[in-house]
Amino acid sequence: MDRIILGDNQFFGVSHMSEERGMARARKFQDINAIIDILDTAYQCGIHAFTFSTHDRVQQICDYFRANSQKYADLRLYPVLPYAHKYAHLVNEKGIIGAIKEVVVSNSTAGQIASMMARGGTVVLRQDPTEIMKLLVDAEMKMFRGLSVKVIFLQNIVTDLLLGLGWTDVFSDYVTYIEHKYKVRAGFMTLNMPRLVDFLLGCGIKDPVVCSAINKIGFQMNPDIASYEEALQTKPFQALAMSIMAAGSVLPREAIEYVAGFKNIKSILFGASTKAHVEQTKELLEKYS
Amino acid sequence: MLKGGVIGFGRMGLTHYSILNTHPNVQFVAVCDSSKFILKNLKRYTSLKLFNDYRKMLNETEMDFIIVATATVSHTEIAKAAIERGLHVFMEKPFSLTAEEGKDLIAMLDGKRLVNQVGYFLRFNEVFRAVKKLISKGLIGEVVHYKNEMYGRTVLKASKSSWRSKEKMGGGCMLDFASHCIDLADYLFGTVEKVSGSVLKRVYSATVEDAVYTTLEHQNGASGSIMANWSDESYRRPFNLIEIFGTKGKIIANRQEYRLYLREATNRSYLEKGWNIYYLPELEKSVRFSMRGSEFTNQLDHFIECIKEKKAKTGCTFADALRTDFVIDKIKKDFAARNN
Repeated sequence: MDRIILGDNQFFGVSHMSEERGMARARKFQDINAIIDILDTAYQCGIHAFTFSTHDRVQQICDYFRANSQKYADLRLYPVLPYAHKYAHLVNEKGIIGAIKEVVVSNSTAGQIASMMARGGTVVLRQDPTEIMKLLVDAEMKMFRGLSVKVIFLQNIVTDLLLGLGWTDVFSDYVTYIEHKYKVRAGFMTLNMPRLVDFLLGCGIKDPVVCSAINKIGFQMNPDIASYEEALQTKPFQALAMSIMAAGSVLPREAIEYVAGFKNIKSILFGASTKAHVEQTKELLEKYS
Repeated sequence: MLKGGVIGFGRMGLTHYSILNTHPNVQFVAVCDSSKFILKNLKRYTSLKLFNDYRKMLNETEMDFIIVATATVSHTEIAKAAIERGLHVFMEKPFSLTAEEGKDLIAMLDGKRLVNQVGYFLRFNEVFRAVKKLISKGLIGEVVHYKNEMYGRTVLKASKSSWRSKEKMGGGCMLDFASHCIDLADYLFGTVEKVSGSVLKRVYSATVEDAVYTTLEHQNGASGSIMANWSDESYRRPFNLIEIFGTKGKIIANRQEYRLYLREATNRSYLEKGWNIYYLPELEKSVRFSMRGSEFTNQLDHFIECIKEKKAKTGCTFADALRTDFVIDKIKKDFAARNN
């Protein structure tokens, strides 16, 4: 895994600190070229790894990467599925099954729909969740076709919902499918890292890839910072750290030194919405970690 | 170990189940839902007793509490049956379809020490809790007026199939969004006495209101404007905002942050004259398991704690939530009176 990864929350109006700040960023990045400018800057200063949710607009960004494959020859993507708000709206409107049909169909060409109807038409009717999961993963992954993917992450609302349900089969089926079909590691984002790590190890998933907030003030770290530190020191898993500055509450140097102290934090995921911020953060990450 | 059941396994039922399923003192034993898809998969992954008829579930299952997360229309009927059987009840908001049926239900609770709670989770959000403390300590003086808003993109086109588009089922922006604003107003400023200037508007829906605008006057003299609109595409997710003007200052707050303006310095060293800004990272405490935000865990853990401690008075009782239903009735009447 890459040591430094640029996240995409800032491009789509997400801010853990303030909704207003999120809105201001959404406005700034309405123009796809503003996003591409930041990605170009990151790539040029040596950050070749990016996470992307499956927000509708990521399609355009992937098109850009494909059209400039020479320039982005060493690109590595870490998709995060699914873009949960999209599903929440669809479920409100069409119910669970209706939403699934909509996503599977709207992401496909006519030919794909025909072949999917052959395979999936009956699946949706049989309502087998593992088969539905496969169809949804394929539909969501379509936008990344032809690009180099390192890890496919399950977004935290879904991970934590499934963790709460405690359905081990769903986790192992997901990991098996991702690793067989896409030949990459399956990763999980969570607000409950220690519980999830224990659970995944209990499911027999070896050396799981888990992404969570990790910062010295314990922001978005449940149940508490001590359990996170214990998991990081004693459990066999690969950790990706995000929110290391706790939405601006921790100084960059302290934030980086804190995460650098844990050997199994393999990667640091950060967000930046200006070119200068990308370059500064990269420099700080290299200096202190 | 407390034994629980869930009636209505849609988005909220699933969420509540997932959060409490990780609680060390809770064991879920039964689920009731009308969807074959849901029941089939619960059968596959769990050893729960499964029902499509809640009366059968209540009759045939030994439980301490139930969670009711069905469409609003069936809330009171189910809660009555549960109370008759001596069960503690957590009910998804809003409380009842009409204040009258809610009143009957509360009468049934009389003398029974049953824990009853309604899922107005904003009462369990750390920012709004902090705002309540600031107001009750008198930091902004007497509250004169507030603006209390909720926006989101729940309904962006007319839908015939969803229960949200059916008034008789409990659809509409009033019960879904405005109810949160009204409950928050009740939580922060006390009982509402008078309702005026109500406007209910359709934006995309054919049969229910998509926006609610009204003025509330509280017993303590505070007044406020409510603005709720679930058809505003510009919001990524539901968003609550409140701005409170008082004689000594003001507060602007949403689920993630609050800003406090003080006209005068106080004896609290951490508060300055002028603007004070606090963000969630400084206010929020970790929870034992988080899904969709810690306020959802806080409210359910509080419910379980009240059962264990035999405390009938929860942070949002049926009686608390019924006051919101009365205000909703008044808003509807106020709007109808000017339109007839």
